Formats: sequence, C-alpha cells, structure tokens
Amino acid sequence: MIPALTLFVTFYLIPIGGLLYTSFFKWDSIKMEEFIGFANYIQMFHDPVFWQALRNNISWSLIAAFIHIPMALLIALILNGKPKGWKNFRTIYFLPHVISITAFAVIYISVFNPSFGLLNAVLRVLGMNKYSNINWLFHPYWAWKAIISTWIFHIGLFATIFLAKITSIPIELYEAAKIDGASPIKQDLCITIPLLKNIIGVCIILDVTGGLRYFEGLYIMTNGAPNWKTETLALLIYQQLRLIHNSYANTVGVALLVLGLLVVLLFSRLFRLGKSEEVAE
Amino acid sequence: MHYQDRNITIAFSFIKYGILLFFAVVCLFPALWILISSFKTNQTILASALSLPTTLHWENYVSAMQVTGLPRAFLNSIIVSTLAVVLNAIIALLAAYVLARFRFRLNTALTIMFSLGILVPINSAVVPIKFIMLNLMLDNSLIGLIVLYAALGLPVSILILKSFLLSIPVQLEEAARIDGAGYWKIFFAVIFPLSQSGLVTVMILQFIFCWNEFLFATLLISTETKRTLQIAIKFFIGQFFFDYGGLFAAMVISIIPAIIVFILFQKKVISGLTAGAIKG
Repeated sequence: MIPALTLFVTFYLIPIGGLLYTSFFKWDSIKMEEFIGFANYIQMFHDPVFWQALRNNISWSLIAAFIHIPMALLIALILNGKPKGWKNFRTIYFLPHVISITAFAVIYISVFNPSFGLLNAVLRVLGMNKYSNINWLFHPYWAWKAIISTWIFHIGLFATIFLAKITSIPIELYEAAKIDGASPIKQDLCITIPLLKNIIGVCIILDVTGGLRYFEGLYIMTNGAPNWKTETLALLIYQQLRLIHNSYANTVGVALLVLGLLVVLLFSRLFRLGKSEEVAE
Repeated sequence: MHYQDRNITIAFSFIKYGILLFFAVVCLFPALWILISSFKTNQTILASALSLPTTLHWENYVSAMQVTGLPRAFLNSIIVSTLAVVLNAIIALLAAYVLARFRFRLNTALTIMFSLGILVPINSAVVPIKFIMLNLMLDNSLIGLIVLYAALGLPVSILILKSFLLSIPVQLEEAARIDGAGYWKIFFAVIFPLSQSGLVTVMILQFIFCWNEFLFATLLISTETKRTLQIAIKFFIGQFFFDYGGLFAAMVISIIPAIIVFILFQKKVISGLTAGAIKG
C-alpha cells in the first residue's frame, strides 16, 4: 500500500496541489517570482485563444456525448443480433484503439494531404472535384471537422463495453417481450437501452474526459493551426509551458481540471450515477 | 402481409450490414492504405494515391531502419514499457490486496480517490510534474519515465486488481493463516499465484498505454538517444520530409508490436480494456 500511495501522492496529488498554488504567482523563469493574486486568471479570461480552446473542448465533449456514444450503442445493438462475422467486425472496430494516436496522427496527415492524400483521391474517383483540392487540416472551415473525423468513427471500445453489458441482461426479459409481441427494435428501445442507462453514463464520462486529455494528435497534426481553429486547452497548456509561461500554463491547467470535474458531476447527476464509488463498481 | 414482412427483414439486414461495413472501412482503411503505400516508391505514392504496388519495395523499410534512430527508439520503448509494466503491476497488486481484504477506516476514501485518479485530466499538471521530475533528478531519464508511467497507470490497475481479488474466495487465505503463514507469506504463496490472470490483463493494458504514451515522453526526454518510439515518430515527419515511403514504413514498424500483442491476447485485451473502463 505504501509504495502505491507514495507514487499516487507524488504524481497525482502534489502536481494538482502545485497547479492550484502556482496559478496565483508570477512564474516566467526558473524561479517563482511573486504572489499576484488572480492576475493569471484575469489574463486568461481576456485571452481569445483560451476562449477558442474552451469552445473546441466543449464542442468535442458534446460530439462525444451525443454522437460518438450513441453510434457505439447502435453498433453494439447490431452486433448483439450476432449477424454473420460479428466477431470479425468487433476485432476490426477495436484495432484503432491499439494503434498509437501518434501513428494515427501521421496517418491522417497523409490521408488529408491535399495533393497525394487518400481522401482527395477517393473524392476524385467519386467525381466530387469541387472538394478534391481542399487542404483539409488547414482549412479555416474544415480543420476542426477533419480533426473530429479522426476519432469519431473509432467506436470499438465503447461498443465492446456495451456489448458485454447487453450479454449480461437476463434472457427471460426478452422472451416475455416476445410473447407480448414486441418487435426486436421495440425490445431494444424498451428493455436494452433503459437497462444500459448506468453504463451509458459511465461511457459518456470516460469518453468526454478522454477527449479533454487528448493532446498528441492535435499537437502533431495542426498544433492549433489555422488561426487557433483547432486549439484545445491541453494544447494551450503545452504551448505555454514551452514558452516558459509556467504559471499561465498552470492557470489554464486549473481551467481544464475544473472543466473535467464539471463534466463528471454533470453527467453523473444526469444519469443519477450516485457516488463515484458506485461508478467504481 | 407475409411478403411485406420478409421485405422489411431483408431491408433491415441490408441497412445493418451497410452500417457495419461503413464503420469497418473507416476504421481500417487509413491504416491499410499506409501499409500498402509503404511498399510503393515515393513517385507512385505522390502520383497515384489509390494504386497498388506493382512490386514490393522493401527498400522503404531498409531506409526507415537506417536513416533514423528507429532501432534505438524501438529498444527504448521496449525497455521503458516492460519495466514500467512490471513495476506498476507489483505495486498495484500490493495495494489492491490491502483494499480488497482489510477493513479499515480509509478504505472507501482511498478507493474513491483512485477512481477519481482515472477521470482527472492529469495532463493539466504537466508543469508541476516536470518540476517534480527535475527535483527528483529524474528529468531526461528513462528511469524517470518508467517510474512516472508506473505511477500514472496505478488507479486503473488497482481498481481492476481489487475487483479481481474480490472475486477470489477468501477461504484459501484463511487456511494459510491457520497454518501459521504471515502477511508476506500469504501474499506470495496464495495471492500472487491466484491473481495471475488479473495480472496478465493489467499488464497488457499498461503495456499498450506505455507503448503509445507521447505527452510525458516528449515533456521529459530531450536527448536523442533516449527517445521512445512515439517521440521518434514525431521527428520522422521532419526527417522523411520528402520520403513518404520511408515514413510509412517507419509507421508500420512502430504500429506492429501493439498489433501483435492485441492479436495474441485479443480476449485479454478486450476484457482488460472494457473492465478497466467499467471500473473507471
């Protein structure tokens, strides 16, 4: 127990404490300089890049909760019908979760490349020449959408979680519904989904907090370009750190932390998940 | 009536397979395209994105292995991932044993704390972690990276192992205790062998995490010879600026170990990742 606690305190509790503490100081060199109260926070609230990053984080979170998770659920329901080859589909959907985001970033840089990229090549074959010359990752309108498209279809992890949960639902419930003449779709809507409510809540929390943590893909693909259109808080923290704006990086860190806690609170309320201990079971 | 029913069923299975296939294509196609392109010459990659290679150009792989620090980075990644995984598993099992078997005041509080550890975006604390590593003299060192990875993976591992231990009957330990075995004796002679299946799950999970970790590696490692594979990948983009064949070959090499682990232990990986997620 003691080694676990030592490591947890050193790499979770102290950093988070240090984060809160140093956000009230001026700290732009090796040494921390002076106490400046809320000045860092005031600077942050006047920083347009911060707001753009926050907007993007919120947009990502909403898409995760209301598009990504429902798609995963749909796939799980289809796979649960055990159509031919469902195990192969499950394996294929799972593969992207094993490949590193770094490698995926390089892959998508190539896919979205305007001249030799896969996407534009496919568009050319389909005859959509109007779109086939776009530099997707650096186009003011398309950049954020292109970034979203790099993860939105990776539904394997959550689909597998749902699938495992669906299998544990007692079969008697469905047999009773069948006798009452309920169609398969009605059975899904009236039995499966209500019974999955808790796990859907947990998955949304995991997906959204995972999104808040997402860094390397953006860092490698666009690093916030064009014109901060693809900036996020995690990215902003790292950029500020590299500029040795330590205390400002930490202030943005506090914002990210608060956002994370808000997400957890909001969705556990929404799905009435009870205490986080229940989440843990 | 009967006909209509059958038509609807057929239409439904069409839609079903359509959806399944669509997702399969978007999940698989980009990686597959990289794999195919890694066997093409640079000119054909640039000229026709969708063409298949006429002959297999292995020279991309040769140049990927030669030009960059790829073998070195590959080795570093293996060292860091393996040691971090072992360290993480041992420490997590010790903690999970205490949490699963002993009733004490802080038990619930500690469990909640570890659960929160999974959810909190720890990358908000990059600056403090960097400075802690500087103070511990663990900055720019592979040992530092090993310790950090072992620590960051603790919450997930502890919660998985705790619920695994809870599913093992207590009777064996009680029998050992009656026979006069002490705490450590019970831990090594009873708990450790019994929890092997749980340990394997945790280790595979952590291996994939460590192998793919990027942020803290790039934050802490500055010497070229200490780069892990994921940071090296970032530098490949610059090094192979006009040699896409080489870049794609390097990507394939970097992806393959995780894929092999996945295919060999598919059941364990899936149960581990889903268990890890549900436990969160």
